[in-house]
Amino acid sequence: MDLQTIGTQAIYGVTTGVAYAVFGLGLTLILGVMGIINVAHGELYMLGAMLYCSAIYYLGLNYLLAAPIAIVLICVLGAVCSRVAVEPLLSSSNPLLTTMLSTLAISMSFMYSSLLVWGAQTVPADLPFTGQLYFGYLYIPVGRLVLTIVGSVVILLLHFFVERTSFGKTLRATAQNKLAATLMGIDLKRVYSLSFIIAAGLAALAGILVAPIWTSNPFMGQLMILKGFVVVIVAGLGNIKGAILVGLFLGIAETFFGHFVSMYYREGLGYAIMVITLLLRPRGLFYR
Amino acid sequence: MIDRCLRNKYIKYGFLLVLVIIAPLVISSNYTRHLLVTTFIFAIFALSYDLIIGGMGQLSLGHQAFFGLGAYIASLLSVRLQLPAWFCLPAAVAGAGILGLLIGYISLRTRGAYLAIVMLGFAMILWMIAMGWRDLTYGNRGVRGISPISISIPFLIEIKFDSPLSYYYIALALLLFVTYFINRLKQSRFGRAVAGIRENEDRAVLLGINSFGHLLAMFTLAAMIAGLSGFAYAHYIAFVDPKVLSVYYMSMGLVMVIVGGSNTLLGPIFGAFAFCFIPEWLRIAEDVRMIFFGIILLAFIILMPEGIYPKIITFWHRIFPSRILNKYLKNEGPL
Repeated sequence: MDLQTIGTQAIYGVTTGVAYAVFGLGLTLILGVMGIINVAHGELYMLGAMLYCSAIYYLGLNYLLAAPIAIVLICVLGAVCSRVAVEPLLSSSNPLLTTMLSTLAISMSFMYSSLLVWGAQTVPADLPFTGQLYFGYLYIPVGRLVLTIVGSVVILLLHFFVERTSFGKTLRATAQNKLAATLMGIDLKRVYSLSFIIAAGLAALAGILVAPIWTSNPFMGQLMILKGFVVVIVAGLGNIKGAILVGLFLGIAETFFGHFVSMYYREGLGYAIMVITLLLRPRGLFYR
Repeated sequence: MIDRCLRNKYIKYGFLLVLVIIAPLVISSNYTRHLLVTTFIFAIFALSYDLIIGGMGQLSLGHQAFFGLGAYIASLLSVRLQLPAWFCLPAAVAGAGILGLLIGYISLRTRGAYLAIVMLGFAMILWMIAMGWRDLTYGNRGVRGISPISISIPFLIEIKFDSPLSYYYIALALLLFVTYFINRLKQSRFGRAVAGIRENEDRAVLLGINSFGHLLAMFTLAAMIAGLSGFAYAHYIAFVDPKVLSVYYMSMGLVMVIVGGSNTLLGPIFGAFAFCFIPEWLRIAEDVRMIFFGIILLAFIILMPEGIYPKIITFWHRIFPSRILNKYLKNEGPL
């Protein structure tokens, strides 16, 4: 257990954590604003990565062109999902459960459709940022560096957007009290659609950022949504700052656990953390 | 005359009972009998799932954990320790019940989305254990050679329930028992208390009902029944692999409950019939089946959230009107 190992693991942990944070932010945003859990979030992430790889491999596009195309497509898909499967159910007697079921149905269809389209393996695209940088005695994969930089910038932008702009104020008002927000002249439908679209874009961005460092296949969404759930539950309902911190923490904890304890059971670590959190603070760590 | 006979519950249910008992003798194809057996096993699973969805009004995304645990306990006791199936039955039910009690104790501190996700987490952990602990569970190769259920009195008689025809009656007996049990449970004081908690938890608590204890007991019962269906599955298919703990069985149970009609007794059974037979008739491959399940589930949640079974009942009473029921329907909606 020398300094080099710890340093490498720390870098891997932080970068993984940024990916979890970017992914978990979308879930948290929808949960906070609309009060629902989008089970299909993982599938939007998976489709983002798969479309990005396919655009590079099958269409021969530059990655700077492929990434925006994938993000825009996923945003459109998110808007369609929101219109078809989420918004009609918000007026039902138990919107949380019915929308969970409907988004679960969407997630099943998306995952198995993409299994039919792409098969169970990675698209062999020639992705950028696959090399490594060498700092002193630490190797840093370029993909992870790019993930951290872009992810942090997006997180800061989102934070700025929610805290400073007028639309961000609208979002926060809706999250606090829907009736009061409607009375203040806020168009709830527009807010719902837009927050769903932003969340879909964040999911797609997370997928694109992790495509060079993890394998992208139709099952990646199922793995990631589990992390997203852990982030959301440990952070507490719809708490954005909490989600960022918990995402980072989860990434670091998982990486160290995987290196020093057991690679196999690292996927279960998040759930152990979640169960302990529920036992100690049933409403999440950052619940106010 | 027909009308009066149909209203008498002994004639009605007796007729249905005779029908299901002679059905496999009339049906000569082993394949259809096999489908019927799987239908009954999944009907038990769907009924137990409905205790949570319809009975408690909560969603659990990890109910397959109890099904898989029951299947694994039954298969491992049978293969590793060579125990007879009649010993595996109480072990599987008790094992699933103990796990249900533990998980419920942790996850019922919360409601709604938390509960659903925590359950998914537990199912994932069980799946990882089933995949990873190869010395016990054989990993992803699965457990093979599970002995069929048999009755043997030494020197006298030995019956092995290893064909679809003979197993049909085992599955039927289990299903009838579970249906009767759940019917009685829902009408009991306990069942009505749980229904009260579902409708308005604060009111139920103010009336002096211990909501946590009631929900925990209901959750444990649902887990035990799911364990029972896992036991029946393991001894029928004679092969158990980590897939029994996967999301596939959960989504199958969900589709059966939602499409059949949640919080009805016969709805989940009807759903089990539909989703065991229709995909087989249409010869849909398993991966495509999930797309199909997803689309149907979405359509039902949006267009007909109460499920098909209540519609059938209203239709039935339109054909065979009965005064008492009509009065009830006008006031309360379908049973």
